[in-house]
Amino acid sequence: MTNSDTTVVRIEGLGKTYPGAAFSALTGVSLTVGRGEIVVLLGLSGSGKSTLLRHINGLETPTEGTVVSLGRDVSSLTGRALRELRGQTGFIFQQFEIVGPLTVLENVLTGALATLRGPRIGILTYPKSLRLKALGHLDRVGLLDRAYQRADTLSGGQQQRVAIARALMQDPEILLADEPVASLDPESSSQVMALIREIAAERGLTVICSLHQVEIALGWGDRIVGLRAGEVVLDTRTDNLTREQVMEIYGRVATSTTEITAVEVELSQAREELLSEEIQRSALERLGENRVTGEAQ
Amino acid sequence: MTALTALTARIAAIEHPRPRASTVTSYAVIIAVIGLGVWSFIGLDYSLKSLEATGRNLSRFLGMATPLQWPGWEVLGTRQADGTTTYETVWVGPEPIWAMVGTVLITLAIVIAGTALAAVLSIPVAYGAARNTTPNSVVMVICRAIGVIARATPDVVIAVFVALVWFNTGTLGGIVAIGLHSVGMISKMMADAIEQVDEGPRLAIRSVGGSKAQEFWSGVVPQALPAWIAVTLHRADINLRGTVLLGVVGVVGLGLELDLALHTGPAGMRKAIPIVLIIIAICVAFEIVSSQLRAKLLGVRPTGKGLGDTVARAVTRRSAAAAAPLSAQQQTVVDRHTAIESALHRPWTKNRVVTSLGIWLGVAIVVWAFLYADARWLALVTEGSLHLIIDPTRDRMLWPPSFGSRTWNDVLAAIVTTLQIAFAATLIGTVISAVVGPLSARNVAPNSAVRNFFRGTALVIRAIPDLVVAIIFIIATGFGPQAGALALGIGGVGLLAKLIGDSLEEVPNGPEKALSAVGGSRSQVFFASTLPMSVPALVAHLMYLLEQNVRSATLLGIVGAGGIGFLLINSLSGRHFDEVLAYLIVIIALVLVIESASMLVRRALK
Repeated sequence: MTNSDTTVVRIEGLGKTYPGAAFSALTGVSLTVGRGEIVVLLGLSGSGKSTLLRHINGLETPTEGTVVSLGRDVSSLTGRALRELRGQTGFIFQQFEIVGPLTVLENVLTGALATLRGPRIGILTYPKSLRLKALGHLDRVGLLDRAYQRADTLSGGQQQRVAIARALMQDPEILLADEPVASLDPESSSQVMALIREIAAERGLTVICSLHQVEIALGWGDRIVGLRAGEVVLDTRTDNLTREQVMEIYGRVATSTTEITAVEVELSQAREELLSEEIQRSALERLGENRVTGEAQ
Repeated sequence: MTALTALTARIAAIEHPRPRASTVTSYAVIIAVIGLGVWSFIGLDYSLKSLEATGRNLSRFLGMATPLQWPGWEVLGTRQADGTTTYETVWVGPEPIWAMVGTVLITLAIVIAGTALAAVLSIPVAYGAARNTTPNSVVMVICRAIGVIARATPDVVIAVFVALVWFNTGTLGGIVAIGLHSVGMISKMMADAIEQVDEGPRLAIRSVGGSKAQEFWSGVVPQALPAWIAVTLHRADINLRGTVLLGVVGVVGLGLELDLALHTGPAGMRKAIPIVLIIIAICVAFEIVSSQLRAKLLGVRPTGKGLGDTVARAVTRRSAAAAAPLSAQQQTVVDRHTAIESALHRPWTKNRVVTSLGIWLGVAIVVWAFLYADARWLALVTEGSLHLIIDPTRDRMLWPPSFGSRTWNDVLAAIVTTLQIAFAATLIGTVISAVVGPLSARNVAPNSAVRNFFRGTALVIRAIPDLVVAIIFIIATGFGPQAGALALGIGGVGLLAKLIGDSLEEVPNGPEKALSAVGGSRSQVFFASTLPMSVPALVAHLMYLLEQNVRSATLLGIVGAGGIGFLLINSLSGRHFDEVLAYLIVIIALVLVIESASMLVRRALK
């Protein structure tokens, strides 16, 4: 599916056991991601999605196996070289992880730290060209008018968009996203997911995004990689994959009763969501609002 | 191009929200501390020349004070033919050692008796000062005023006063001085703890028809008791360090020994450093015991920073722990009759044995302290010569307060000197702590060796009583405000660096992780995330240090650092109590102003 010229991330036999832990977080994970691919990591919580993502930019070091990112063996990098790799890899966190007391603009500017020498305090310590660039990125995520507000005064969805602008500031080649919408309400979620997709398309970014909502994953990614208890159990393109197929696979990977319950709950929630969407749609149709149906096609 | 100009126009139109009050306050405090610190440095004349003089004095002192003469030995100097002096250390028998042990015991006895007195006196004051227990607002204002006055009146003043009015009463002056002065801090902390108690139990007791007193004893006291013990132990710690100052005005104990040693020429000087080392050792040992006790008895983490936090933690831990064993006990009950019968007596579980032994041991130690100190309590009612200070024909009269021969300008200049000592000390402490503090934080230090080194440095400085060091420093380097500020400043590092280190470690580490994922270096992550996220906490610590330093600077005046404390001790030694009263009022006002400023800042930071 990918040839070696366009390979961006190559993971081979990756295993990770945290010190003192009874189980491995990851075992024998192999994965190759080509340039421009939009990959969704799917799995229950604790299945190793975050751990896998954190190996790609060297936030974790593997117990065994290799991770090659942008042509470099991640675990062999230290210091300046590691920072350079991280600089080319954007990372979006579930909890946004922006610096609350700083202004929105300064948060975006921190995305450029890897290209700068020495510490920076305050917006004016960044070169003007970077400031202009940061404002441009803020405009792209629709938050230009909030540039000088404290970041912790923004809503969750807005904070995640600031984090995206910060990642853009890195001019990344890869964008890693760890449950980017798990802490957001449905409306902000779809905004943020759409934004990531648009930006990826604009810049030809490679995106690896972990999610636990099957619903979002199906319509969003090009390729789905399923993880269970630290192992890859599914790796397929989404082109002709139906929701039922994924759910079946999802259900099959759940073996323990608690996992089954979790999947059942998720299924019933998904069903309810579909149902309520159906109801809304028919109600709106009755009202003569056909924009919704137009969008759905 | 048009798109770019459009963007530029829109950038120009972005609104700049007004900075928050907390941000403005933070930066105002930081700028003020630096500005006032620099101004004080200039004002205190930290010139190269005065530093040289300080160095000369220090080496002269060390020349006189060595070789060290420990109790049990005598250092004999023999003048040689060539004009130099050789020293010989000879063993003179164990008597001086026993004498020193006696001195240590009497010091401990005075401190324990005085602190215990204060702990008891604090209960009614705290009852009246806490918003939720006070009978009415008049009582509240009175009780709070008692607290403030007690806090602001140095124990030295009380000791001199008692020594004059009740002449020749031995340890009484020291105990009363510690007892009254400590009421200020203990009652304030306890009132805070009372205000933080869970209101539920009180409500329950009220609803079963309990009286107001029953409400207090059954609903509030059990909850505030751990706080009371914790604060008292902490205060005992502070009082032990304070006895050095009490020695200056003649209260028996290690302080007096030190003062005598420093005023009896080279022969005495040689005893000075051993006495200081003994004092430091006793202080460190006492602190370890008292924090162990706090941890054991109350489950307070001894590393807790603000006492209020510590106290709050103690209260919550206690109530959480108390709830658990009850249900376990209920489960084991089988036969109802035997159960009821056996429940007549509370079982002697290991916990109960330990707690009871602890309580009885504590009571025994306090009783021993009162007996050993052997203060002539009766003299308080029988022998008082109050006429000395209320007789209008004598110049010792207390009322009306006056500055005597000094003008308002003299007093203002003295206040300025005291403040300059405090500001300069705060700046010195801040600058050093700005390096030591962050490097002692796990998430800032480049590796654990660096972190342990700086954490250890802060710990060692903290263990050494700064006031003791300041006193020695002032005496060694020649009297003057520069030496006082320097000693206080270095002493402050122990406190501030630890607080900074703790605060930086407490910062949520998500943003730090995000910025290292961005590719930021350690220093970049520190300045872009760790530091801005901890600014409010750091500023609060800075205000706390400043507050402490103003208090300490006043006290240092008494041993010769100048300022308002110097005026106070001058009038005290002349027994001009009208002047003493006037300076006391000035000091109380000063403390009040600093405390309110500190409170306002802390409120603004929230």
